[in-house]
Amino acid sequence: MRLSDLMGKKNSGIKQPGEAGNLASPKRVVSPHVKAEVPAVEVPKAEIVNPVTDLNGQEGVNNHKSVINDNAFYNSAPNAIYQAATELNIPIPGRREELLVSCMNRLLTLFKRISDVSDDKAGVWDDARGIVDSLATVMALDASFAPFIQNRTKSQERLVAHSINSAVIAMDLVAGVSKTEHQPREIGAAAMLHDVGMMVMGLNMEWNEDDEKYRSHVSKGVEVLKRCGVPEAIVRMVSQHHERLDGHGYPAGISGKDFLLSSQIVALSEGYERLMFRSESDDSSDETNMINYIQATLDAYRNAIDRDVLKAFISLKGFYPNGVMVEMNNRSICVVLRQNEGFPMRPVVQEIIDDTGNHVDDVKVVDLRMGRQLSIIRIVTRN
Amino acid sequence: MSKSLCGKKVLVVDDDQLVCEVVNKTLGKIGLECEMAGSGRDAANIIRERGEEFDLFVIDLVLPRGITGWDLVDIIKENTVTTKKPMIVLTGVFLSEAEIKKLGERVTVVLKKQEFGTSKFRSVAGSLLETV
Repeated sequence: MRLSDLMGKKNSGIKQPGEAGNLASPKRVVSPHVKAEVPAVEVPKAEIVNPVTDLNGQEGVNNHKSVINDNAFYNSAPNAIYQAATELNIPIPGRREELLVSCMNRLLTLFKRISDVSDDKAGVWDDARGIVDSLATVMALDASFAPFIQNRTKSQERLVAHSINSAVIAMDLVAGVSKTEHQPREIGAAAMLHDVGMMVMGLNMEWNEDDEKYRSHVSKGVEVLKRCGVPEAIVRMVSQHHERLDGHGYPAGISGKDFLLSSQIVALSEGYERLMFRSESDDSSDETNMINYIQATLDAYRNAIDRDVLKAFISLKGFYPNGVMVEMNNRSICVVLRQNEGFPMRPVVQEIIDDTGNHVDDVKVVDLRMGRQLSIIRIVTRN
Repeated sequence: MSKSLCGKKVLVVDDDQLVCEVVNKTLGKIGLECEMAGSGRDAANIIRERGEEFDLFVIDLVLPRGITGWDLVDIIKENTVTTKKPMIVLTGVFLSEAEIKKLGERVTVVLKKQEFGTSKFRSVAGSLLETV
């Protein structure tokens, strides 16, 4: 599937790799990067401290270097914010990664209870709901940087991490899809519980998906969730997480409107999570394995998921994931720093090797949405 | 606490609740009243409906889902009741040269979260409001 098919090439200003010619102007209602005409604003001179002023009061454009040399990746509230919070007696929430791991441990305990035939299952749904609430809190701390639990080697932990990550992705994705049948936290709960059948059956993430035994994890999950008093809406989404819009999914082989949009979000989230971590754990040096897991997700789900859901997915995740090295059309090598929402092919990048093949001494950050002559032609490193 | 600042209102936009709370308490100590918005969409609605209530805007650039801090800068500048009001961009992300230049043309001050300090932040906000 070509990205332009999804995003609407004429209006998106998105170019596929290898396409010739300049990009069309990206169209967006409001953006500093695309508005040619800026209304003249009269600002009293006294008000202008400086375009870039740091908090030590140092002024001027020279501060530019200090702006971009500090803290290679902003992945949490900077220490200065924590220090200020301490000074102001504001309780500092736990770090997001720690909160996620805490959610993972709670879910592992919950899955073990669900698997235990001697357990009376009392309060299982309340506990599950509590974990989803905690995940929503983690995301609310700073949704832009909602992290994932990194790959786990132990089979059970990997399965639980997959469940937590899928829930985070689903709750993030649902905001971009209109008219879902269920609320974000319900969809998050379904994504978190979708593979509970695998836990009960003792299956792991490496099981062959064509195996009948593996496929029966869906009905096993439905069965145990019903026994735990999980609401019907959640159970239905779990029952559909391997279905496809084209009817080639399982176990029921439903198609069209029977496949709920909410279930499609769960299906896409868990599939994307699998591909992302499979790609990261694949240590083969074969260049063909250097896939872009965003592209891989699109390829895997092009006929399986509604276009609007895929569109929301690509708009949210971008096409070149943060952290990958990419080759530009001027032959320089850059690392992707962050996404421009709505412009999946044009993220913000930092130059690592310049167009003459030399390492760069100064940090140069380029927003590809602003300069239309520079574009990415391919990914050069594994995700 | 400066009397001229008492009761002035600030709209703080950041999806990180801790940052919102830190800014709120920091500015509260000089008598400023903060209202907080956790998303670009919420902030845009507030600005459109009652932008005139605010004397200062403190904005993060990277906001999820649709309306970013960049967009909010445009919305504030294009709204006749807010266009002349001071804006502080408080960001933790890298900015390209072009981005810095673009921001410099449109917002009053750009501050780095990595160098946040309560007294300095109060001083910057206070001086912006006292000159209004």
